[in-house]
Amino acid sequence: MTCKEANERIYEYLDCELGKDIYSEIKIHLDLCRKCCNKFEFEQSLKKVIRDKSQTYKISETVRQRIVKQLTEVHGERSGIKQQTGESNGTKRHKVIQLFAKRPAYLIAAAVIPFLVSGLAVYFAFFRPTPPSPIIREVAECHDQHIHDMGVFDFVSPDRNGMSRKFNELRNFNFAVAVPEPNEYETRLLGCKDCYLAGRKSVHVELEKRMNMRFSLEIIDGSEMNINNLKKEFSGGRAYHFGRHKDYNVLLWKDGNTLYALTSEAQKKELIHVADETMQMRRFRDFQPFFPKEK
Amino acid sequence: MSFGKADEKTRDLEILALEYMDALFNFAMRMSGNREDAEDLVQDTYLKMHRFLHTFEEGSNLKAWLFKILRNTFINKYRKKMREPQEINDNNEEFSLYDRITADKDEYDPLNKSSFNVEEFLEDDVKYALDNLPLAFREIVCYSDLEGLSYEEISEVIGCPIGTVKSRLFRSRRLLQKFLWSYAKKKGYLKGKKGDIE
Repeated sequence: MTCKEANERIYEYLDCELGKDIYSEIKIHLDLCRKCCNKFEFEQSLKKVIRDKSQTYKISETVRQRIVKQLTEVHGERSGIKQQTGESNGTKRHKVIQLFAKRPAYLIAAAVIPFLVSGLAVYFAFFRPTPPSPIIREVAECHDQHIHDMGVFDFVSPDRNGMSRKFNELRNFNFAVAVPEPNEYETRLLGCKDCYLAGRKSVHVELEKRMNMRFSLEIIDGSEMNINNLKKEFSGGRAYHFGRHKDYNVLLWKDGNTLYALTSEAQKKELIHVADETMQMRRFRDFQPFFPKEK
Repeated sequence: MSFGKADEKTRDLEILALEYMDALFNFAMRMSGNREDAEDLVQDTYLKMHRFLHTFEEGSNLKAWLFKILRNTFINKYRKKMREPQEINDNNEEFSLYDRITADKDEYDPLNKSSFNVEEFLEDDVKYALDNLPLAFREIVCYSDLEGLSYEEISEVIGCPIGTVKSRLFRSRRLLQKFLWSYAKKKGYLKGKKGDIE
């Protein structure tokens, strides 16, 4: 190694940036060459002087504390956010949570409103009182009229004989007019009369149950009537339709083209019971009500 | 307060990083020249470190990384200062204090008390010489001689290849020696040479 080669690497040597091989080569050269050795030593000591004699500044303790405090605060904030938002720390979500934290009323509103809306929806879908249909209203009005003029039944024109024959047939049933003799059935027939309902001729039958509970049974030509959109319930294999007007419960059912309407102040359950009782009698089913033709 | 595992790791790194505060401050002082700016620089450095700690690759050099942040902060803040003309008469690359001292002698003998001894330089002399270096040169002397960073670390900090680091360090030292030389002459450490000042 020449002096020139050694001098070219003088700083790398002094900064300990050389590989083992070349480092030892230079070291050997320095052992042999006094001139180079002196120069290297000079540079070495100069380097040391620069390091030792350059003033070292120390950061003031207050600033150090401030920085440490700041870092801790930043840490606290960040972990706080993490706790609030769980894994995702999207700023949008964070803002929403902040809004609710600021105004708890919003949170309550957010919780209550869905319940309120779904409650209203359920009410309107299932529980809203539907106005009674026209047929229910008419039947109830009719019952209301008849219940006040007790006992005025005529068994009806224009063919009185035919009507009484029908009625005699009726007499064989449970609600026969034979009032004095008690019978096994709870319901008895009070009377029967020619009537008008919904612009048609009808047969009005007045029934009585124990405890003076009065029922009106309207027998109408229901060939053009549709009652399927009324409330429906099945009992004894028959579809009964319900309605309510003027505190009277109305029970409707159809048998062939004949529409029966039973009206009373009694409960729906009792109405069904009476209706079942009347319909149970097979022979009653053969009875075709007489609808006198209009002149 | 409890931290997650990742948080604990960053916390450990931060605590480690706080060890370098004095070194960073020292460097900031040398670059900015006044206490207030240096304090701001160090504070900004730690906040930035916190923000970018997730980008720090484990196992790489934390000290070099911190210096890099500090340097970038400084450049961003004092861009103008950094843009000052850096090319100070580059023709004196071959200046060597040793050569000058030994020019009229056959040999330099460190044991000979009558000849110039580098120990005679005072703190002020070194400070003067360092402060007169252009920033680009000053920083590299600081990294190497004062903070003891390796060439590899320096190249990481300033984002240059090692060859550039070597040549810039060489030029910086030569320039520093030139300042020391003129200072020594002015002060009369070097006997009989007072008249040599340019």
